[in-house]
Amino acid sequence: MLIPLHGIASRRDLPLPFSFVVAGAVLALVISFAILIFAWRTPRFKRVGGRDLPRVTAIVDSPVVKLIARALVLATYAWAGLAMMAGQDLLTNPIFGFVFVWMWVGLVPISLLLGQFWRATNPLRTIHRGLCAIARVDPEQGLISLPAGIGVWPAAIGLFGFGWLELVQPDRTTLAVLRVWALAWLVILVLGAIVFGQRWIGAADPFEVYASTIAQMSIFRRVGDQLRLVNPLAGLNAWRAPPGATAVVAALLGSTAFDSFTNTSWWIQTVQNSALPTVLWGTAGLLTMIIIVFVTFSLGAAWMGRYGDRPAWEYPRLMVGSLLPIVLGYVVAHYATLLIVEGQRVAINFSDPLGRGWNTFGSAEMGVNSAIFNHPTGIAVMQACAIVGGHVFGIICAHEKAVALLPPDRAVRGQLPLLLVMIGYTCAGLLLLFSP
Amino acid sequence: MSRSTSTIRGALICGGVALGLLLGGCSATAEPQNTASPSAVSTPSAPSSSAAESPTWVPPSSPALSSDHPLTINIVIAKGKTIPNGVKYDMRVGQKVILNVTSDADDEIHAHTGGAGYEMQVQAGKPAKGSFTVDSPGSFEVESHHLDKIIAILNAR
Repeated sequence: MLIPLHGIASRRDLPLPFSFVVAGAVLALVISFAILIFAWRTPRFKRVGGRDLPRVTAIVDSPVVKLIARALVLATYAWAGLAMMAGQDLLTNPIFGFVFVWMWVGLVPISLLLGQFWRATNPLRTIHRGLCAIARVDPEQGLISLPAGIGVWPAAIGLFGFGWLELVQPDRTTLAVLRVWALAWLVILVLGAIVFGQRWIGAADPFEVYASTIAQMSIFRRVGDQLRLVNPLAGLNAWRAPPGATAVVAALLGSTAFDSFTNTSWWIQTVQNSALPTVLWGTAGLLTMIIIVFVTFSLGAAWMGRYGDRPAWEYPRLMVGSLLPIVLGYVVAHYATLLIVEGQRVAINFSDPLGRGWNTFGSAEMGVNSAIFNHPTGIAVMQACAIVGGHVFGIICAHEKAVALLPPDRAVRGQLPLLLVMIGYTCAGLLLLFSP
Repeated sequence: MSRSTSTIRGALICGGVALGLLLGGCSATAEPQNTASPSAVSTPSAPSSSAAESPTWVPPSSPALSSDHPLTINIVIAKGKTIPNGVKYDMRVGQKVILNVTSDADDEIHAHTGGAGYEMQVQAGKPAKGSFTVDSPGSFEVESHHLDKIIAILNAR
């Protein structure tokens, strides 16, 4: 198999047909304004609602179940680590797909279906807990306490770092490069947890913060001590975003958009014709995309300060939950086929981490079912639906928040700029999939 | 009363923005074609302009023509740059792709094809010819391995 110039898949999805772009944009626009004008004027999701799940809670919280789940996840990472440290430097080494497909893309469906599973089984936490048990110290206690205002800012930087690794780093699919990044991730997170206590992992691990953020849209939500089956919209509405959440979401949306943007003819031609190094273009492009999202969203949300009784700078963090469905739509549209097809390849190669012909899990002989590629129209429909659907749910969340935060007579005017920003993201997302 | 005025205002805004979007969208489609044509001097790629004089370019809307005519891409690699430079080609699954390559340095052309991929060795100053077919739908890159540059992107439907 030939190594692709970027990414780990040698095939991208076909450009979205332009008629889909137009139809999607018009649909997004009409629905947005319909919601703005005709929808409810008093908050609907004041309480999370849903149904308590006492039995599920008891099972999930039982020490034995926790121990088994953590041990299994840790063993999976250890196996992947074996492939990274002792495997062959070939694309058949499962570590590349493990990181860029299973971890990075797989954490989204895991978090949607299983809520805070990632956080509960994060191997970094397990390692740190183990070290603390050996040293007989409380994992919550560090040497220095983290300032409360730090929120998830370190993770936002970490997410930029991962985006850079995924989209800019030269030779990212070589072991030497990946080892450096993996080691840095492990050391920064575990050492940080020793210094600042376990809270550091929740503040700085890009994977856990990404997973926890997506899990806000899960049907499972912990309310008090109980797990509940909830309406994802009500659950998301109840999320109290930590400081830095806007930067996290901007990093996610910006890096996904940049991934598409690098596939436009304009970008390829400009970068390849330029005398400047590609890495410089990539770094600047990725940063620019993230900053565009951060600034436009922050300004759109801050506008609400003119109509509400809070200072303007508080609104972006209060409203950031409404961007999560858009992030989800982008991710599904961009990475669904990658997860489905390349995800299988990882499962197959996972049986043979060292490239010695092992068949540890019995998957080595299986073939990749790539029949999905024979339905390009189906893929295009799925992509357009993901982007537009994410947009609609985002608008609904934003509207709900706006009517809760602003006086009824000013809620429509107050949320208009944010609505326009979100329509902009959706049209941009569709255009990027059209990939001119 | 205020309700009906706001509805009308809303409808106007809707219509206005939709119109603007459609127009904006149209100009966005026109752009890539314009930018594509000058860089593809040696290759009959850019739709509208070169369709008439090129026997190899296949309009995306006529699948009947497609698989019979190969898609020929003339590639010139010189001074670290490639022509075409990241140009996109519409083609059909199963259609033959012919690469005519001239390079001022030894190089290796890689084409992803949905299967094992295609590799072609090119020696400095010696014109080389190669061909392959794309087996299934998708967007595939043709790359200069030594320069790490994308020469063309094949959108096979």
